[in-house]
Amino acid sequence: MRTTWSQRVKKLAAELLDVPKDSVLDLPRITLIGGMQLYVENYRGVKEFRDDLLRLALSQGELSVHGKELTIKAIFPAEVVIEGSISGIQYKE
Amino acid sequence: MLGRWLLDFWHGYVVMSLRGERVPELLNRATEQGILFWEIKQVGENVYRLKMHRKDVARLRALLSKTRTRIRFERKRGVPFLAWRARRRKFFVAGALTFFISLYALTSFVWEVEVSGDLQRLQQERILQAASEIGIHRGMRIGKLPDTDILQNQLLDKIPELFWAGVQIQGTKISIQVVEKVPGIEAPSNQPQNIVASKKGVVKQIQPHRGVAMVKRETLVVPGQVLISGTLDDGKTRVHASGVVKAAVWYTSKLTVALKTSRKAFTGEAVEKQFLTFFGHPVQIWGYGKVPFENVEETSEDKALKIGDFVFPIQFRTTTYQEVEAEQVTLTKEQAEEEALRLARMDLQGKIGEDAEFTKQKVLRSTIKDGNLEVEVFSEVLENIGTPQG
Repeated sequence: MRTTWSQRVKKLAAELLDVPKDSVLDLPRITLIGGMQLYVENYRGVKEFRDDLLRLALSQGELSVHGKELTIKAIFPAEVVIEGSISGIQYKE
Repeated sequence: MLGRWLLDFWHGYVVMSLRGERVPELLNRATEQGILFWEIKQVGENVYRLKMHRKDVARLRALLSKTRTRIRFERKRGVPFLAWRARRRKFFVAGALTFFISLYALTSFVWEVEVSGDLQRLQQERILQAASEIGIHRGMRIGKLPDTDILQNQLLDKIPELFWAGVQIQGTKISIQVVEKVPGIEAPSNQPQNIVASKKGVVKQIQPHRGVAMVKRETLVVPGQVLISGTLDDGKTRVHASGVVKAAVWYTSKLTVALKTSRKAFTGEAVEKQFLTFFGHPVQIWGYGKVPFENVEETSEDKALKIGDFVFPIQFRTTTYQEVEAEQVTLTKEQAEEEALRLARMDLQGKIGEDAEFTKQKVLRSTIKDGNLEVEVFSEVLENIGTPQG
């Protein structure tokens, strides 16, 4: 992955100032509650959605969510809430 | 969560299904434009069911053709859709509104006034009358009544015999509770006085409590004559004389008794009519037609529907018309004289009080004139003729 000059500065700043990296570096923040609920912030769109697989585009790479009876509980421009019985999450850069 | 749902319900939302191969792309593009979706589920191959706001549907339509997605509405939920349906059912809504308005209107009036409390000297009607004057009566707007403590004071002003009054508004009923004043026992007067005769009569009994008896039994006394003197034997000490002086007093009463009288008798024939009364106004519902009798006696009976203490203003009334026949009764002279004695006794009792005792009564003279018996009745009555005089 090519890192640009500005990203390197931001990463350095985030480390020095000790702020969460997602807000500075435009990275996704993924919260899983048990195996039932998944919050993904800073996603970049839905690539594929079936009731057993959900693929989300991220700023870099993608996130696959495997499970059964997956439901998009709510969807906003920068946030998506997924419910269902989640069996796996795969993060690809 | 409930708040969200209520908000969605208020704005109106639709449940729809989207069919097409590019639904995810549609979702992305719509979301970017700020369209909200929730509860998106796959229900079949390339078919998704989701919910969205009513106001976003128009914006979504533009994207449908670009992504070759077909749409099908399944449910429309929320207030805007209900309102739309309500507009089509005008009369239903009008009925519902009428119901609520009349419920509100009916509960804002006084329907019943109730008086409770141990009433010894006061009549319940008197309290109701006074309450009515200060505005507590059936049909009054509850909102127009002043505070209950003001009403209580007004009630006390109206009826000075009351010691305490409580007014409570219980829904459409106003209950008034009262406590009467116990009248003060008058202190025995010590003013010097005599007991004098109020009527002419023969003294039969004399019992002085204080003072000196001035007359003996079997003495004829005239009005104003001192019976019990407040001046004691020493001629100086004056006391408050009291006592009972019973004397035989004579009365003559002149009466006229009709020898022929008519009396009503029921024949047993009757017809009934049924009414519904609305706030006292009767509306006939059964038993039309003329009453087939010449002389009738009318009696009405009301049946009211009650729920608890609430009496409905609509009542069921049955009026019975009973046929009567006038019966002529002719009295003999003796019967008429008997009747005259009875009437004289009733008349005197009304004048001199219940405690008077009739000792003798007889007919002095009687003549028949124009079908009437003119009678003169003599009565001897034993009564208290003593009256205080300062």
